[in-house]
Amino acid sequence: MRNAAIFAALFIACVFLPPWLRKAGSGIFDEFRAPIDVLPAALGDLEKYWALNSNSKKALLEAGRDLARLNASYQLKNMENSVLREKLARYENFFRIPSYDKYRMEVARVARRDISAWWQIMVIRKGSAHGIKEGCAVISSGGVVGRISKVGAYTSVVELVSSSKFRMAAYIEGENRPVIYQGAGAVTFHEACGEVTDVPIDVSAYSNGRPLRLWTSSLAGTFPDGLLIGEVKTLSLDSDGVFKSGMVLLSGELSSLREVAVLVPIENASK
Amino acid sequence: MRNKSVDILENSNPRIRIFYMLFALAFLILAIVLGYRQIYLYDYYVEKGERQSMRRVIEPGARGDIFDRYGRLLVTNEPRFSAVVYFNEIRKELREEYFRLKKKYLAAKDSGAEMPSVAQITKQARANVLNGYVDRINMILGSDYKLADDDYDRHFRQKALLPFPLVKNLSAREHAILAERIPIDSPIQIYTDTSRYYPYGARAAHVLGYVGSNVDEIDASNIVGSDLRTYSFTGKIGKTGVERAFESVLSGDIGAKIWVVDLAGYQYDNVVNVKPKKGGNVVTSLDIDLQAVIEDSFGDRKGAAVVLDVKTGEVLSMVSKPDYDPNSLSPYISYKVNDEITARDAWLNRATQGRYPPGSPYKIITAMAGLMTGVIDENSVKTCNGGYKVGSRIFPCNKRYGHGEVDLSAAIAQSCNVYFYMTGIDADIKSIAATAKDFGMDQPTGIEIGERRGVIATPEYKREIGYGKWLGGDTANASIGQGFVLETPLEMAAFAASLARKQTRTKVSIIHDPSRKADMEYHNAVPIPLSDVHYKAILQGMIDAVEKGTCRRSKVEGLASAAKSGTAQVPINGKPSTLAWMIAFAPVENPQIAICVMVEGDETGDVAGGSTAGPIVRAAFEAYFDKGAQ
Repeated sequence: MRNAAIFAALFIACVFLPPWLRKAGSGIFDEFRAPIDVLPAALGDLEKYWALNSNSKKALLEAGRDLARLNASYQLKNMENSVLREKLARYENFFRIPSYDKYRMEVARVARRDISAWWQIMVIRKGSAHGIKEGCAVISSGGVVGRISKVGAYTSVVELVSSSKFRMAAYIEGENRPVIYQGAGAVTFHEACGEVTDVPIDVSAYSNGRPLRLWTSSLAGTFPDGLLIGEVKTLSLDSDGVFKSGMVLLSGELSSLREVAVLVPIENASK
Repeated sequence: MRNKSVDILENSNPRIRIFYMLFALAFLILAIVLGYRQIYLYDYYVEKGERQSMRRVIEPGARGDIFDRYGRLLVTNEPRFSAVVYFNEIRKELREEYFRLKKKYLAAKDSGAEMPSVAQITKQARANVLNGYVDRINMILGSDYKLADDDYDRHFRQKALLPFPLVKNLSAREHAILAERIPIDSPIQIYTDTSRYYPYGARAAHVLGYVGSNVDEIDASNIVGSDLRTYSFTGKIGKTGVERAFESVLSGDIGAKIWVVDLAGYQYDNVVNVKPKKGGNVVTSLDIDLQAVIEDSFGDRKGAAVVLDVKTGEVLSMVSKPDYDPNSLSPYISYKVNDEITARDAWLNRATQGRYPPGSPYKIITAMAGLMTGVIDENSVKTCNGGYKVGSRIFPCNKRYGHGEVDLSAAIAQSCNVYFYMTGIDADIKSIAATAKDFGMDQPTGIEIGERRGVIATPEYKREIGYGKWLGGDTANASIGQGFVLETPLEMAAFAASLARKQTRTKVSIIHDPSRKADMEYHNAVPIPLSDVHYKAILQGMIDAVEKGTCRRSKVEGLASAAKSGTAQVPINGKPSTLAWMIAFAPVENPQIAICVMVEGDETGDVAGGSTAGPIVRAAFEAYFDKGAQ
């Protein structure tokens, strides 16, 4: 009886609490929960480390040698990038063009992903302590991953590009007229997909037998131009005949990503 | 001991039983009525309840597109984006704002301030909430938009189920930014409407027409829920030209949504959703390239030109100058635009609605009347001394000192008035009128976009319009296409096409139909009742006009064409003026296109058929045949 009364009191308190208090409560809960999200990921890393450590000395030496080669090639690419950056800076300085560096990249490990009929989110192991803010773009080598929807101190929640709550301006390959992309939510046993709408009627889904790609647009300032969202698989005329809409096939990587990069606007970062 | 209640019953007044019975009867009636209403009328009340709690929203479908004969898009729909809110989405905010304001005013009332009425607080709450959304949009876009419609109270009362526009006419870029930056579950939504878009601007404006708002109630009787209270978006309706003539094809199928609403009129459940469908497309017979060439050759001049496919009667080009850009009339016609177009006298489609004395091209009719009645033959020679006396008046020739002796072909080539005065008077007005009637000069050509009929000069017509008795001079005037004769440029183009086919009628169409079987039956025509020799004499006159006569400036090297020019005197808006005419067709051996050009002069003598209309005809021929050669 006493427990029921406590439960009822808590329930009523939850319903009638002022919004700011409920938000604060939710934030505190998330912060307490964050280690639980991070722990399995960290344990996974540890497990992998020990699994690798149990290899023979010879295998480790070979792996170390491969790694050294890989590192060397990355270092080389890094140097090339530095040279290119310097060259770009010189040109910008020469032509007095303002620098185009609008974002810095914050690389983060994926702690947990929740891809179901209800949620299409991912938790990453970096948060406001690393300058990440709500609305920041999240990308990977395969293109757009999503957008930060919630930020904790050391974790952030990413609304995935496949989520039906994710909408953004985009461009179809070879076009300069903006279209709208929206995630289509989860479809069981199918690849992640989204929907493109407001496509001008003279645009076709295929060009030379190859599906056209959907690129990000910098119109709204969240994403830079030209990152891959997916491939436009179908386009058909809407019933009103004004626009076309169709299906966009997203990268299959979404369900297996281990690491992503958060694009933190430089203005925000400096603040 | 006896039961007390039994005592009461036994000692009671027997009349009370009547009361009991009445009471029981009343209850029985109540029970029967209740049963009747609850059981027997169950379906009726359920339906009535549904009607009271349901609302229907009608949305017209987008209009179809219009193409030229080569599939080039002439008219389409352009999306118009608006940021809107639905009142049911913001009802909580409206209520909170109302209570906030009420609390504020109650606090102020304690210090002696006047308390506004409930209606005033409600209005202010709505204004605050709606302006708050506009501010949010401005913050995202970095813009300075104001609330698009400040009559939100009326919208709330009359159109609560329709989206309320916060900001209208967003650009595609602004639309894209808002779509990304506004959360999907935000009350702010992007509503996409369409307006008509004419990619070629003013090209063929009079033929294509324009649309206006359909202020009449949309007929939605065949859509579900016709007995429900209905809200409707404003549709579009064709006002002129193809837009109007093919309204039934172009207008889309209307869609409907049926919403369940609560007592306050807010929608909460969508039970029926019939999507609107785009209307059908129309493929016109126009060639927009040819249209552009002819329009450009007009320059700033007023006038009209019609080019027809000789065989099918399809309109390849129809020009009316001055024109207007129909894009400036969409989505609505502003007073400024209306006044500007009115001042330039540009609303009129001169090709189909302008009736003018046709001048010398009409001499072909007179010539045929003369040949058919036998008053002349192909070799008849008449002497032109520069004028011809009819009654007490001398009717002048276009050549002051006369053409001398001329036969039929030379008279046509040099456009000798005297030859045709004589021929017309000899043949009589009745035979000229009968020939003109054979060619359908007072009948509609059949074009779908509407037209005015021509007028054939007859004594009956003169009497009918109150000008009295027919005189010899009237016949002389009619013989050269002046006086009471009035024709549209379209009618004269159809005449040229008929003449080219050696038939009497041409049925004109603005629709391109490759499967059209355009035989004599289709055109409702018969062969011109002239011998080959007579027909060739007329044709030779028109060929000579191009080679060495009045139509020299229409000549295209390497192309055999036949033409007849004319310069008619006419008062325009009470001011004496001149009209420059030319009808022509080409190639002579196998005619493909026929053309009529009419240019209005600003004052007497500033235009002439050969020198003003001729170059326009030449430009049209060059454009058409160069394209054919390519």
